Amino acid sequence: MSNEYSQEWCLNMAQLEGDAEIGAGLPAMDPVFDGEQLEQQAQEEPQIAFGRFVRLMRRSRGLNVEKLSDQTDIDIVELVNIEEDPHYRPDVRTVYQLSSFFKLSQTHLLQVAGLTAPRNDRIYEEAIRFAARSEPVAELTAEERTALEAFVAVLTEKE
Amino acid sequence: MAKNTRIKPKTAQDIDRRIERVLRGLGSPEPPLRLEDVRELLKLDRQFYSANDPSLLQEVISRIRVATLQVSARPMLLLEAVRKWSLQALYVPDRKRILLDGDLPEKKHRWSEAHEIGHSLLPWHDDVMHGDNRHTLLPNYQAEIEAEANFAAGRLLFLRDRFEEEARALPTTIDSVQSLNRTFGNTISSSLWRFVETVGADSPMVAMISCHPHPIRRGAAYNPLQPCRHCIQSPAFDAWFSSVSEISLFGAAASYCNAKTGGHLGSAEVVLRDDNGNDHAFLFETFFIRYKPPAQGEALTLGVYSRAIGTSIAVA
Repeated sequence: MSNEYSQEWCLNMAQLEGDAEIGAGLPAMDPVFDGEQLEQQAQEEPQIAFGRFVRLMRRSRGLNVEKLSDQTDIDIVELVNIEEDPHYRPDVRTVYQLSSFFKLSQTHLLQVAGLTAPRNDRIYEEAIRFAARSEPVAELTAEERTALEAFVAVLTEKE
Repeated sequence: MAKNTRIKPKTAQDIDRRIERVLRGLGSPEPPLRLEDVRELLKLDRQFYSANDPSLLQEVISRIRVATLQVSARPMLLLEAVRKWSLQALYVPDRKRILLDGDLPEKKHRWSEAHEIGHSLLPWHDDVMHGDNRHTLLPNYQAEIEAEANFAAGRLLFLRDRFEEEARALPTTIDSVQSLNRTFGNTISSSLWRFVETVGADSPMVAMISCHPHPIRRGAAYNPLQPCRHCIQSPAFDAWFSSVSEISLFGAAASYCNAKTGGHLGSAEVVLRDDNGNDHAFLFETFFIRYKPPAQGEALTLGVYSRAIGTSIAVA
């Protein structure tokens, strides 16, 4: 299919355009929002890491969600939400219960869960790397286990 | 209208178990609960800070690592910050110390102290209490832990279910709230709040703490858009009458209140429309409490569900 434009049509269009800068359409988004978008992403990534982390920690101990719920006194629905929904934010108590059970720093786990403003770049970077490397599969691969252990090592570091 | 931050059932149960252990440790005491006994049991230290002596506050804040060189060079800046945060009390986990604002009226210390005792009992608050230079709890989670400390304070000061059991055995009137208030030794506003939340769990009930509702007694601080200091809705009221505003409730109280400067201001049947458009009658009564000058008095209004009236059909 071909489109034919008359000279008159082209001149009319040029007149309408005036002195405006010629481009292939307006920018899709106000550039002002770029900074905010990045900030949102920065807050979301550790939450993806948190859900996967909890799942892998649970599986590494051979527990199903129900058993973990019993042993941590966390509502089973909340645990499912943590593992399945990256937008879900747990209670402070829930993070404390998990950090006590897995013997991790509550401070660091709160950060990974997205309940505190991340200021420790290393934890944040590790969380993202962990999220990028881990995928929920039936059994832990060697790579996953390495990723998990590296992450645990950072979380258990003394402040 | 101010509404409480919701606490999840598991968290509420956990907090309640901790309060139960404290009360058991005190030998299941009779009301009013002596907070000095609680402090002794939990080995908590209590001190007061004051605008006239900011040194104590300065010391504490420097210990919790939020002070900067600039702040420590200007002691009053700390106090100003505390005031801006509306901090009436502080809990310092590593020293098990409760700090109360000594400039507040003594009756208000009790709730603040119980609130800080609540923080001390909840181990997941320790790490997040005051933050440090590297991480800060996001505001809604800060609100969550404050709501948990308030919940713990309520369970402690009202001796878990004891208040509810006694309240349910009494008629649902302001006189009953005042009688319970004398027994449990708390502020009248916290007693009214508790009364509505517990007795009104199944049946709609609403209460207001406000200035004098009569137009000639309202005072300079009266704000027609936000006439109540607190508007307390029972869970059942909240579920059925979510569209009723505090402005219309205050207006209802104003319609029957006389201009007396103390005691009962009046009572009346008030019709409120529920979210489905059905009308219901409530029995409202208002009582005015006088405080020693310069404090202003406060009106307490209680609205108790009476009966269904019928269905209103809007005709175009």
